[in-house]
Amino acid sequence: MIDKLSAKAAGALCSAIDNDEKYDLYKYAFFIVLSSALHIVVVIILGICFGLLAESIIFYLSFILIRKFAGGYHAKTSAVCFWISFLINGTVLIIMKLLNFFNSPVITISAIISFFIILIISPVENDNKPLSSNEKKVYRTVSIIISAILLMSVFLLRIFGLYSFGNSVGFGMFTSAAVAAAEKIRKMLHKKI
Amino acid sequence: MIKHAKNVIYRLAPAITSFLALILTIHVNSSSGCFILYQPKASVDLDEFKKIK
Repeated sequence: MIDKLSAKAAGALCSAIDNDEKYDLYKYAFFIVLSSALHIVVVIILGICFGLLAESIIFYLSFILIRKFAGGYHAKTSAVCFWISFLINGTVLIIMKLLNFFNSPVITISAIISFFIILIISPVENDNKPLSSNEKKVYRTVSIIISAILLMSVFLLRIFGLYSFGNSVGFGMFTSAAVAAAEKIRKMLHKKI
Repeated sequence: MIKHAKNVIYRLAPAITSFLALILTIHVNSSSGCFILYQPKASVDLDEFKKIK
């Protein structure tokens, strides 16, 4: 559906600017914009449903900030991507809602472990987006800096008693590290076979 | 109605193309292009948006 919408939007834009040369480029860009917008809407709706809107957005932003540079697992289709993202988001919010983690150090400990996972394995490149050696160096540095800042914010938010926000950042770090590790393991197993 | 819509698109076209260029620049200059768990294979050359070679 997003693919069709992207094609229509790109077609309309190309006819407006009277230039068909960049149709594929605009279609690709519209696909990124629309799929991202869909995910953001889902994050907001889930957040409202669970009564954890701020936590849902903080979790999403923390996850994306690291994910953009650390890389990791990618689904084969956008539909699978959507449902995996939906499940991850829903699961995190259920855990935050049902289990009383708010004063527990478990998430902080998992955020520390996640930081070290990112430190060791990032960036994990995807087959559809190979990286040059220079890109790898830059993205590795950026992902480590972002992870360090987020880890510090987990500590600070806990110190100031904002446990649910701290836990949201911690969950975001954990999820990013988990998808990066999953892709790394998948590649290692694929090489062995 | 359609004419009005076309007129609006025509007026907004420069802003939309700039916005799409920004999105592609962010997309190209990161390890994981997609915002979540799907990485569409680009059928077009995106090198013009690359800041890190």
